[in-house]
Amino acid sequence: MNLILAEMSRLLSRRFAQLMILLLIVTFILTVLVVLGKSKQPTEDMWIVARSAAASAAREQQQDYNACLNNPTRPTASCESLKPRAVPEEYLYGVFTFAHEIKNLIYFLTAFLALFGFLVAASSIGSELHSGSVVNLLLWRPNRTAVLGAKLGVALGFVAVVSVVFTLVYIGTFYGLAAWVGWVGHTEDRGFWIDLILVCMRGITLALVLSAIGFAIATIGRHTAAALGSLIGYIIVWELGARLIVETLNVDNSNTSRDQWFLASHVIAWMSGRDGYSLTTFADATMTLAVIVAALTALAFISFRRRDIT
Amino acid sequence: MTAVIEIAGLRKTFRGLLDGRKIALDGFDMVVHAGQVHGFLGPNGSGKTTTLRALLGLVRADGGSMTILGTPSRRFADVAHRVGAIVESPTFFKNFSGRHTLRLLARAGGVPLENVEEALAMVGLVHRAEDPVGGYSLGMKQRLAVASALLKRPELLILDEPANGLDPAGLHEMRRLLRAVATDGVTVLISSHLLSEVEQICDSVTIISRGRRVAHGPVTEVLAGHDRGEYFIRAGALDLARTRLEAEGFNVRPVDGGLIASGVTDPAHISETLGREGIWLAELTPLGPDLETVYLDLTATRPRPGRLSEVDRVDEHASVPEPIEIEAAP
Repeated sequence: MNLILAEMSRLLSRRFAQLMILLLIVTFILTVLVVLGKSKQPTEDMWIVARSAAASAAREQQQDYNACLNNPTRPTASCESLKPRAVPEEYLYGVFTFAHEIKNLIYFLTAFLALFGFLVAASSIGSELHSGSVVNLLLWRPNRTAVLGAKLGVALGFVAVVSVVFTLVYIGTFYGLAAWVGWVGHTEDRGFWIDLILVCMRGITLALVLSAIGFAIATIGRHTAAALGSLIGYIIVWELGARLIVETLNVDNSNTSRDQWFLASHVIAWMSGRDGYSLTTFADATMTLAVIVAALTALAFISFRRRDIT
Repeated sequence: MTAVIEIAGLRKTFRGLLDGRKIALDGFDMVVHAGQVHGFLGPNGSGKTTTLRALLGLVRADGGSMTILGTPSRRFADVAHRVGAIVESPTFFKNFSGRHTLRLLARAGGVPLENVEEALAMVGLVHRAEDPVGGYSLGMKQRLAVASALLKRPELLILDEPANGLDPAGLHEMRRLLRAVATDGVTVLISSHLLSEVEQICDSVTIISRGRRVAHGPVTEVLAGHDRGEYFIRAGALDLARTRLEAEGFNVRPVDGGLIASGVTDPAHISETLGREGIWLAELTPLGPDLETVYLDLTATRPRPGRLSEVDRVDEHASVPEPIEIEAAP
């Protein structure tokens, strides 16, 4: 318990963590200001235009959906995303509609929280390993597994608390903004809040997954930069480069299996919470992310336990 | 006398993908007895810090045995609360204050927070305790490091280069501090390059070179083992004096302002020889070896005219004496 309290104190006192929190707050304020500046309450004329546009769009979507269902080369499940979904609030231009836009904002927040968690968790161990200050700690608490476990636990706990608080503040603030300068939308619809809570929970879990990955890579590489470098390298070399090559050369005709090679597909599938948004299934995505986190964390602990601390 | 640290046949080889194998310790032995202030000397890269790291469980040894406070060092966790240590210059977060840094360590180690103020007072950092560590001088950081080692009120204090960056007043304070903790019954193992400091404060010493022990024992006995029986002679008629002394079998060489005779077992013989020739002595001074001389000889690191020495390299052409085995008095 002492170790965990000391680690919490250490993490909260770190300038990098404070700076990252500040960055989150600044991003949040900017998003609020943008919404405030661009949104206004809908007038009756705006509703008439929106209803007409939505009806027209719904007809086109129905045609596309029917064409998909009638196409023998496409599996029925893949047509799920083409189901007609057009609703009038989508066509209320210049109006912030909470029910319609909050999910996209949560995705945006998730991306930030994931990056925040990745960097803060990586830095919490990477900077100490690189600077040698972990030596001091090990002279006090020579149990390496306990020390690394405490650091990982505190980093994940910190990211979880920040994520939950920011998510609640985010939702509360944008609900208030919608009521004030926009339109709240059909939040009374059955399942809206449950769906939103599930999206938030998946977002927070993703931030924790990325935090654990950042922590593990920084531990194995003994430096925060190892985690950041790995992330940038992975995105450039694999997600962009390899995906381009695979698609250009058409290495595999089965889109489903090809998609599974890329982590971004799994992240999209995970965040969607259901099959159909990505060619990877939700179950595959869950399993892949869990295996990656477990493998990297295990490697980090083995490496930290066995290596010479110099 | 109880051995607090016992190291026997310690071996460690570092293996790197790019820089190959490097033998850091090659069968190293060391014994530190309770209540001693023990000096641990050796050139850069000789294996001092690796030894301390292995002892403290930071580095995995390839062979040999180590006990610390009677416990095998692989179970260092069992005795960690009784050992205060700093290895090399510890790194602290720059934006944390000295007091906050020590409080974090105290909390992590389950040590009462009152110890923080006591440790700060012992190293003379009370008035700067709230300043960020980033603003500390090297000497102040070193004091903070020593304070962190003292926090536990340890039975055994292991300090790797504690005098780094200290000014003369700081050195004096450090010497006083180490003596004070030793008087309280704390065993101190101190690794240092400041040989005069070690000579002044240490009861016993171990000298390491190329990963092996080349000398150990009480400081006075290590020095005595290297006493060449040299005397400085100042007198009139130096040429005649030299001739007479050489005729008596002394090994004599001229130096600025006098002569140095070596291999002297009885200085009265010099006085008698010169007196017989009517040459009156103005000065006859024994030139006992100091620790620096002994160290340079034993580690083969004595600078040679016209050659620049390299870190981590000993003089391959220098003759390295056989290890001196002087056991501490029981």
